[in-house]
Amino acid sequence: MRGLGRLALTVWLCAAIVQVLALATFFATLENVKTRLAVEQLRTLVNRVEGPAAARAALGYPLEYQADLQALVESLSLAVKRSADIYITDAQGVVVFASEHERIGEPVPGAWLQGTDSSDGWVAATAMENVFGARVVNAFGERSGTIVARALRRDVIVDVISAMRTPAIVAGLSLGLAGVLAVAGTALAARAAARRYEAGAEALDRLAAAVSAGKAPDAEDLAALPGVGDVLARVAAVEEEARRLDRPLRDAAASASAASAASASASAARSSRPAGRAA
Amino acid sequence: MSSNSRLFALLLMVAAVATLITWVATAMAVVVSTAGLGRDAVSVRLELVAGGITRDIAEYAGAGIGLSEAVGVSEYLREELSGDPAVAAALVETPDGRPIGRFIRPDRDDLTATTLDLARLERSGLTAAAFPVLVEGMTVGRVVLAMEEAALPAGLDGAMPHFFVALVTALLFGSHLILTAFRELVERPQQAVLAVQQRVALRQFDASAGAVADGPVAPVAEAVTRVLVAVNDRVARARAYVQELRDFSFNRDAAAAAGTLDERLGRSGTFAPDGMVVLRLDHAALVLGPALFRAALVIALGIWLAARGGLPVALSVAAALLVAAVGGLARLVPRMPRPLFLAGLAAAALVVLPAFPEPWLGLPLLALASAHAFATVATIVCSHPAVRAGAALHAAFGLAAGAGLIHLEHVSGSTWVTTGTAVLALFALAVLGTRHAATAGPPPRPDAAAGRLSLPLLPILFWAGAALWLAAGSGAVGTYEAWAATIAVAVGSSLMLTVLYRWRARLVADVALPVALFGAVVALPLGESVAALMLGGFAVGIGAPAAAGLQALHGGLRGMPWTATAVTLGAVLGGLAGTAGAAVVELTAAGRLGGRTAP
Repeated sequence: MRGLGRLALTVWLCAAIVQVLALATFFATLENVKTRLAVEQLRTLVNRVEGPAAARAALGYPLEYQADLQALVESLSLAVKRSADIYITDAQGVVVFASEHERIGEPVPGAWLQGTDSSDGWVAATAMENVFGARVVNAFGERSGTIVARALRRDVIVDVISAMRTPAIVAGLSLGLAGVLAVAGTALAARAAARRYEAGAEALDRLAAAVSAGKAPDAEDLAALPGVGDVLARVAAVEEEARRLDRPLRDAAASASAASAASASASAARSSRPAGRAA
Repeated sequence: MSSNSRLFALLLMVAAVATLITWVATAMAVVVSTAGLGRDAVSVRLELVAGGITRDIAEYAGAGIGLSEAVGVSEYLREELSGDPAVAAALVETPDGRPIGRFIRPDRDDLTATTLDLARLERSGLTAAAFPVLVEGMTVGRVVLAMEEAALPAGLDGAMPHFFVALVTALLFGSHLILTAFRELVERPQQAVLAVQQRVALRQFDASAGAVADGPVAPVAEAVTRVLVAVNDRVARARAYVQELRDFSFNRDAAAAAGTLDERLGRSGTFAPDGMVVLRLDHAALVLGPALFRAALVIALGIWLAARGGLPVALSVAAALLVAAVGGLARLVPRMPRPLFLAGLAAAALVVLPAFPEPWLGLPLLALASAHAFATVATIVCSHPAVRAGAALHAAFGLAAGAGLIHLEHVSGSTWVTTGTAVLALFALAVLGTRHAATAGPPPRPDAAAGRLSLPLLPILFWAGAALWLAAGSGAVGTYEAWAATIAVAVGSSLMLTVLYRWRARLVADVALPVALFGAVVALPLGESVAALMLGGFAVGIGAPAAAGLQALHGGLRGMPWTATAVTLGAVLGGLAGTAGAAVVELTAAGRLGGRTAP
């Protein structure tokens, strides 16, 4: 069936558009899910440090004097394969212990400490990083310092891209299946119409062949294009009239040629007889 | 249902099946991937929590105290783990499996009565793992830790509406694509063949359908052309014979009669001795709907891009509305630059629009895009009432598709989808308009100029309605709510079209229009609620095709004073009812109505 290819392609394009939009939406959703999981992981990291640090802070030890916290943050950072950094600050926001040694002695960015009034911790997410923080208070309820865990959003994106591999493969395979469905479905849906068009085209082709050959077309073929029969009849009538007008001349010419042929044979007979006689 | 409608419906069904299969398969894969992410995250958290506990217990055991004689382990576990809501149970045991301390979260009563071990915890639906306690390389005990893992990680359950919006939006685009292809490949060649057949029935053989798109109708169109060529050849042969008779015949009567025969040949039909021309047809009825879909899409996205730059939504809508009308009228001026040139300009404008931090620079660019969109649409004039009314539905679908994209962009945070689609749609619109202008014949009616003048009335009404409910939220409307409202517009348009097709009477439109405006204005004071937005959208959806059908039935701008009166009455009554309704809602909320009194 000719001409269904573009229709089938369009049907397949419909599925392809859905897949593109779906993959974009799924990517955004996975990124959102992974971000939440990453924040939960940061919360766990902070909780692991906050427990011992808060217990000793309540006993009167400021955070900067709890030297074993440095080993703890390094071991925790190693446990998550350095995908997150942990910072412990004093009450002024200056880093006293950190898995990233270069930061020790520097103040943490102000954006990381925007929720220090919250007793349950806070989340500070930016385009570049996810941050979870929790404050540590002493026995008098005063802030003794903060514990902040940070992970780069780049790692989240990398994980999401990795997680999207399976959906992307499934999307590709299902688009192949959609292609088969589009071709088969379009052929099935348009089967009756295509047969009707093909039958009409065949009748018209027979009509065209008959007209070109100067033969009389079938009545069925003439019905495929009403009006042609009428014109053909008129043209045939004109041709017949022309032939009729032309016929006397042709008849005269034919009789003239016949007469000249007869006289030529008669003269030949006359010329042969004296010769015979002479012989 | 005609055979064409049946074929189109079947194609839509095939597309829907193919689409749903791929969408469901990919969605399932995403759910599986997400669950994998969740499992990985839980196992990492288990390791983090268990790492601290095993380290503490190893220090305890390393001090020389045998783990089997340890005391206070349960208290230690409670102190350590009660702050972490994800940990459901923990157990510390000696290497021979004797428990020396355990922790069970208070809300997990099902675990308290039984003996805890790894297998029991896993059977309880928890994610559990055992971690050895090592002292100088020797295993002196182990820690069993169990966490609850949600079936679906947080964030996935709330994403279902977004998936639904993506599916509906993509289906709208896909349906538009299929409709455009169907009209290009099937209906347009059908119209061309039908027009040639009608001319042949009138014995006119001087024009062919020309080259049609390679669709299912193409063989018929080509065969018709071959018949026309054969007939013209036959006539040419007859004419040559007659001329030969006239020029070379010895029969003087025949020479004289040849002229008469030639005249008879000429009277038998209109032929093309020097070759056939291509028939120019006005396919406006096929092009107007897709053009309005693209125009509405472009303007909706343009408004969003301008609003994202900081312009108030109401101002963006008003600007688009005003300039669309001007653009529609501007096409009346002859010798305008090619639409493609304007499309390039406007497309470039839309591309750079998000880059402009200054919103006032976005306004002229939005105006340019809107003007061009409706300038292109205005080149396509159709006087058929049903097509006019149906065009509103296409515009509603375009608006809904644009709103869907806007919501998806809002969710994903990426801007390339809306900007890219806006530019593509503008380009496709310009190509549609240019092709139509190049192939269209003379307008079917002499008053087409009046039609062009009145065509912008439809978008004006439509966008006025859209402006009403968009501005009602004063920019506080969420993208999901706006999308729901546009879907309500499309549903309202579909219903009104069904009514108009069933009862094609002026009375229907005359009644529907004021009622719709009544509903729209009632919804206005109710403000930001989703129901009010959807009611307003539904009313606009009903009103737009009703107005278009009415306008076409009236023959343009004439004879509408009664309708104008009814519309005004509907709007005023709606305003009064809406204000009263809002007051009732406010009073009810304050507890002063409905029998609720303060103690």
